[in-house]
Amino acid sequence: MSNMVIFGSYVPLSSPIHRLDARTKLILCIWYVISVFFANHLWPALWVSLVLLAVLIMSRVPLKMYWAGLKPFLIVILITVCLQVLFSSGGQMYWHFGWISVTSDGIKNAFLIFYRFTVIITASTVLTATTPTLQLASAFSWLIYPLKWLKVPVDKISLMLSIALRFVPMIMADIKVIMDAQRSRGMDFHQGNLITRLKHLLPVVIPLFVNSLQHSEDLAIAMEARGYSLDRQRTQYRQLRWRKGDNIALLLMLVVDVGICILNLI
Amino acid sequence: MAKTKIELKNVSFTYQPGTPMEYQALDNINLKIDDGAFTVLVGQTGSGKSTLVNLIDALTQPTSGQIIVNNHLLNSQTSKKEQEIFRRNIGYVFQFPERQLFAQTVREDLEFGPRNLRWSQSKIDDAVMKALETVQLDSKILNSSPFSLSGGQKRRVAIAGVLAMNPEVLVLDEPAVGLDSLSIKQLLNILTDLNQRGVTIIMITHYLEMITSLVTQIVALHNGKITFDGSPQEFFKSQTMLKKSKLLAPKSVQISREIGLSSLPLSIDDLSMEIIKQLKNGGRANE
Repeated sequence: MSNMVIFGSYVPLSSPIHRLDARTKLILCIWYVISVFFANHLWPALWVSLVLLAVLIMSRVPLKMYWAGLKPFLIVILITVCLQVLFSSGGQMYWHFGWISVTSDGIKNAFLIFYRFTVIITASTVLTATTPTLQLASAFSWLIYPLKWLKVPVDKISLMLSIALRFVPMIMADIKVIMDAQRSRGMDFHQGNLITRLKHLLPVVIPLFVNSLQHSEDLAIAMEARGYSLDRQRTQYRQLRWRKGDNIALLLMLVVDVGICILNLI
Repeated sequence: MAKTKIELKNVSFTYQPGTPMEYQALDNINLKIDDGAFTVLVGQTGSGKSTLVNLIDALTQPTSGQIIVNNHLLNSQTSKKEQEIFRRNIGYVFQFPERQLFAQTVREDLEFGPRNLRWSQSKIDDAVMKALETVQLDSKILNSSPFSLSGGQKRRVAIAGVLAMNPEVLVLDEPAVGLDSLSIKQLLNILTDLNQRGVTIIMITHYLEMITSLVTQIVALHNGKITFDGSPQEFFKSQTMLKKSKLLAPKSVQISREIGLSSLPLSIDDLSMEIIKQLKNGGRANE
């Protein structure tokens, strides 16, 4: 068992958001992300962020956990923001040195990028924190199902996806155990320069690969033993059920978009 | 009276505190382990055994309470550096330790621990040879890949990798799982040998056949609390204790009970000795 909060791991709770159909949540998440790109001014952006905050509170997942999920991305976001501030042009110039210049447009863009990144990452965290991974995988395969007519191997893709998602927590647990084992043999992961640190990864990465290959081989054998075949139509044990709440959620999202439109006009 | 090697005072541990997944794995544990003891931890899955040994090896810090090993103190405030010093005298053989093998040769893998401790090459060589001897492996395998060995050999190489660091305390988490009976016997010999050399052994196991006359202390855990702490004889005497830990007494104890002996022999050898004694006393020998 791990003592850290892993980005995007499912938090088993009971909330209106948890009870929504996985398909609804997937559609809403994509829809929301697209909407974010249309909210480029102060008021629409605030409106979109407020909606997200309301959803966060409704999901009953502690805000601390969302923050823990966002934290690893902050450094990437901040680097992008800095690049925006220093290297974009246009608007009023405040300061410049050779290639580098700080302009009013640059600062505006930086704010915009910061807001987009945080909001989009948080929205996807809501999706993964409130939806069990396997349900998410079946929602995704439902979404891409029409591609079957274009000869896309939809069944294979969705199986691959659900296996990959299933392996994530397993691999995380594996990493934890292997790191603990090597730490207990005197390994110090936080020491030395970049090259030594990379070398320190070997005692973790090699056993991890060996174990993962072993896992996948076991899984393949177990699947074959239970009669898995690509030629046959697969049935689902857990059926996704569309309820009234899902219709309401989609309607509310429409309201959010109307709000963005109105706020964009004023 | 042997001196105390490890002491846990009011130790509690909670996983993911402050989240909906919060889970208290250990609840106010008080435990003393003597120097040179052979302690066996028993309990069902999820009873907190692994968490307890993780704490003894300072891989995690207690949420509250303190752990003292060799006058080193571990509590929730202990820094990373101090944790490493704390860990230095403790060898920890994880469950399925062969899954942590990584080097190209057995030698490299065995040298990994000592090298992390920055020993001199001659000291490392000595430690590697001694560890290999302890686990009864031939020095011929030093240059082969650990991945080419058999399951039992891999496990012994992994144990040797821990022993190469000359630990004063050896912690083993389910060392017998997945081994054939011959390998289990070998493993027992190794542990016997180490314990006789003065190494304190703490072992988690479900195989009660692993509990020999060497074992000095049995600690049973249930839902993060210690429900029993005493000698193996006392442990097997109490039927309720066994039932609560979902364990069966070793065969020798069961047989001895069936045939109405008053003692509780921990191995078949002890049992036969006891039977012979009884036969001689009763004069019912029918040789």
